[in-house]
Amino acid sequence: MKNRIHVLRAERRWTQAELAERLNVSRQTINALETEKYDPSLPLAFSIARLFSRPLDQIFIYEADEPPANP
Amino acid sequence: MNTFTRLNPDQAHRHHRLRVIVAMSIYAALLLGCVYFIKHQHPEGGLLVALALLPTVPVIWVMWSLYVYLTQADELQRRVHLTSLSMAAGVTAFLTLTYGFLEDFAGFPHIPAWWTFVVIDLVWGASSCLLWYRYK
Repeated sequence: MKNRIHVLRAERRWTQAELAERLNVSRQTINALETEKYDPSLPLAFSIARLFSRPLDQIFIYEADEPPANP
Repeated sequence: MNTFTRLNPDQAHRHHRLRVIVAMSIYAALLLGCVYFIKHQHPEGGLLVALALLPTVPVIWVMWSLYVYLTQADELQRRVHLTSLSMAAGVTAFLTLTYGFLEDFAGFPHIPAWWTFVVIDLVWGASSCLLWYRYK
C-alpha cells in the first residue's frame, strides 16, 4: 500500500525518531512504513491520521491489484 | 498488571538486548565454572544436580526479558520476533525429529538434548535478521 508518511513528516521537519516517539513505535517501523515495506494495523493507521490531522485516504493509497506488503 | 517501567519500543529493544548480552555472559561463565568444578571436584548427589542446573538460571532471565520486551514492542517488532520464533521452533522440531530417527534407526552418534537450545537460538537469530532485512 502506498502512503504519504515521508512527505507529511518532511513538511513538519520531524526526524524518523521524532515521528516514532510521537506514535510510540520504533524508528525501524517508521522506516518500514515510509519505504512501503510494511502496512500498518488499523489502530496504527488511525493514530498516524490523527497525528497528521488528515483523513486516512489522504495518507494511505490503496490500489486493489497490488500485493500486500506484509502477507 | 505491569510491574516494570513502561518504555518506548526503541528503548525496550535496547534494554532487552543489553539484558540478553549480560545474561548470556553470566550463562557462559557459569557453564564453564560448573563444567570445570564437576570434572575436577567430582561432586555427587544434590550438589551435582544443583551445579548441572545452575547455568539455566540466566536463561530464565532471558525468557523473562523477552516477555517484557514483547509486551512493550511495537506491532512490527512483535511480528518479526514471533514470526522468527515460529520459524525457529518449526526448523528445530524438524531437525531434532530427523536426527532422532537417525540415532534410533541408523546408529548415528548420540547428541545431547541441550543442543536443541543452541539450534533454536541460531535459527531464531538468523530468521530474525532475514526478516528485519526484508523490512529495511
